[in-house]
Amino acid sequence: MTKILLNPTKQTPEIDFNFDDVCFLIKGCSRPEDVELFYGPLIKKIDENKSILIENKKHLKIDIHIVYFNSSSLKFLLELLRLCVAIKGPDAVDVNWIYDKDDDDVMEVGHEISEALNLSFVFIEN
Amino acid sequence: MFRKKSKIIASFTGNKIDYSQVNDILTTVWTKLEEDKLELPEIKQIYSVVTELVENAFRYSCPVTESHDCLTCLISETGKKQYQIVIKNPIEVSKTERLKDKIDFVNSLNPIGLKKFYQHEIIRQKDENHAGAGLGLIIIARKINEPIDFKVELLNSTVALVTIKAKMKL
Repeated sequence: MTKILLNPTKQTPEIDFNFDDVCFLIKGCSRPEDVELFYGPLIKKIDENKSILIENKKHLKIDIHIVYFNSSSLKFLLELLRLCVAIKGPDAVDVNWIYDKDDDDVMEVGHEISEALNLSFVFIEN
Repeated sequence: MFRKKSKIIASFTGNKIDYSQVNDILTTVWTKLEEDKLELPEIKQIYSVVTELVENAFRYSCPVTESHDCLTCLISETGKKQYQIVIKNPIEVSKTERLKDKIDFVNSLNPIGLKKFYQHEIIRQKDENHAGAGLGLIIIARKINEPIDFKVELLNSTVALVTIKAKMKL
């Protein structure tokens, strides 16, 4: 079983990347002290295990439930999503953008990222 | 005529700031705004601006003499649902012109221009070499109602004290 599991902290989100089930989850607050140190290894691990994602014909499901993220995290999140799209193809990546009730700011950021990546997201109010 | 006194929400003074102090400031801001019964979107609006400014001070301040407590952060409520965030931090003189250009540029944009520029910046690959405005400054500009205020004072030939002030009315 190829997985990446990271518990959430006050500054970093919960990470649950299950490569065999082609399901990724990013949940919580993201403003790590060193954003490259946090997201860099995750992006590297996705790249190293891309064959598992490619061989599995199921769509890659990515649930993103971010409560807050700073500008540096946003750049890395975009890079991570770009990599996933490059590996699976835009039609085989299903992003669920989950936002808390009344959190229009996070919802709007989701729309802007979706537009920037030219990738449809499903928006889910929590 | 009476003028309402500002209420300090969080403040910090020191020679440098470490990450635990950044966390303390941000936690204090969030907690006090919650205690003041602000709505969650309002809290997040202020918190985002404070985060970008304080994290910038943490990442880009340069060392000055030990006795010189020149790094300050002051987050205050200046009126009914009006807030002001002032960050003073020492940076290398060579970096001040570029920072001023970035702030002048985001200040020159209207909300539509800021949105377009934000889109442009997030599309740009993170490792592309360019001299655009930082994404953090764009985020600040989109969340405040006035231009970002910027001032530079020379401390010595290599270090300048930069003051950035962001005012917001919810």
